[in-house]
Amino acid sequence: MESRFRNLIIIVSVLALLLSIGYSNGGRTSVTIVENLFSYIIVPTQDVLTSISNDVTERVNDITKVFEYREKLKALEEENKVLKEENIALTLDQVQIKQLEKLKTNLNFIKQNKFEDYVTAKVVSKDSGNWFNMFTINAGLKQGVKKYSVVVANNALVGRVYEVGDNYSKVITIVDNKSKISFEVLSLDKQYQGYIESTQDGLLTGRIFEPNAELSNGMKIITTGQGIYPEGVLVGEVISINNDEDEFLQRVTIEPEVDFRYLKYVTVITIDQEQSEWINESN
Amino acid sequence: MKAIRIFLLSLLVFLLQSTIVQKISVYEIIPNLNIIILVLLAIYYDDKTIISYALMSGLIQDFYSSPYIGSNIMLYSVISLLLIRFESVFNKTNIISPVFLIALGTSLYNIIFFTILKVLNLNFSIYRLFDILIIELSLNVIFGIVLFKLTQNYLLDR
Repeated sequence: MESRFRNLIIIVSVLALLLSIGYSNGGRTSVTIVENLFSYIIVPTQDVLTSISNDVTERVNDITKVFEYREKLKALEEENKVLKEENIALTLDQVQIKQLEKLKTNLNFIKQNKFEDYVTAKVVSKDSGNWFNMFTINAGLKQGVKKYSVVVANNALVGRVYEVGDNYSKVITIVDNKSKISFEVLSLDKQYQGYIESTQDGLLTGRIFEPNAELSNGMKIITTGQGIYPEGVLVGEVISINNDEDEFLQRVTIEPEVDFRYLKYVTVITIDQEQSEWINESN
Repeated sequence: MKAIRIFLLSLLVFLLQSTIVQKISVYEIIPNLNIIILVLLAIYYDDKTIISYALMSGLIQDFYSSPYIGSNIMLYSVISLLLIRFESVFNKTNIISPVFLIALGTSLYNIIFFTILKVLNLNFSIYRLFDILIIELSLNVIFGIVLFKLTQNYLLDR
């Protein structure tokens, strides 16, 4: 009898937890008082531990790279000699100049895209498991961060705020995110638009609306401004193009610009409460 | 073990796992200290301590580091129930015991997690599961053996 009762409790608990997983899928609109209370101990401690471990890692890396740098310096000196000679012989033709000018404009466009309200935050901890690229930052509601605020680093897209506490926020990266990103391929003469349809193993898969788009590896991808992400933020680079004849739209694989492993600081583009609630309802 | 000690241990392990342990990754895959601690508790402590630690550590991890509330509580609880069933047949001084239990716990954790992600319609490949299983299992076993050897005398004399 006791054994049956115990089994019943286990089954009910598992079902309750499964419901909780389903409910919290997509992020909760607010965290509990207990979570906020403990975050005042947890977040500053994580900040200190992360700073110490970052510092130690950098010092160890510096030491191990001394010998590597010595070899590289020699190789670079040799390469420099050859390049100087080649440089004199080379002249840029008109097409190349045009390409460079266009690229310069595009890069300025990304760099000059300043956001009015933003918060700079430190990455204090990373996801404890191996399945997600989530991380925690030391800015929350008190600093003006809201759920769905967009997170960028060095003018490139990182992701969005998933859950917010008083003094911390969980950030989910674009490679973990199910929300669609509308994008544009930076091209010299034509505008190709598309959307991210899925993510897998740290890469993004996108569809291009133009069936005959002339694409090549290395093309840069930026946001179009449709959806929650602002216009003109660098997403990544095309690393492969799939021209399947059975499929009408071209599919591209995109490598994100941001290396999520080495993120230390991020910029959170703040939104107001109404925007946050509106996005929440529309999702 | 007293409740306050279990709570402090869970907190300490979470703090280490989310910060310092991130730096000892292999191909971006890190060991899971919680599974190692669960196994050590299963070998040396009573059932109540194992279950309490599983609930506490799962709760902290879900609150501060997971996209889903309940996933880690459920996974660590399931692993702890299984460990309770198995630990009685193992020798407390034999190194094979923690190695087998860690391998069992790690495999179970990742296979169930992968299943949950598939149910939630998230796009993770089976190859990712194999990568995580192989590397995380190896790391957990190495760290588990080190921790087992370091704590063995203290915990046996307790």
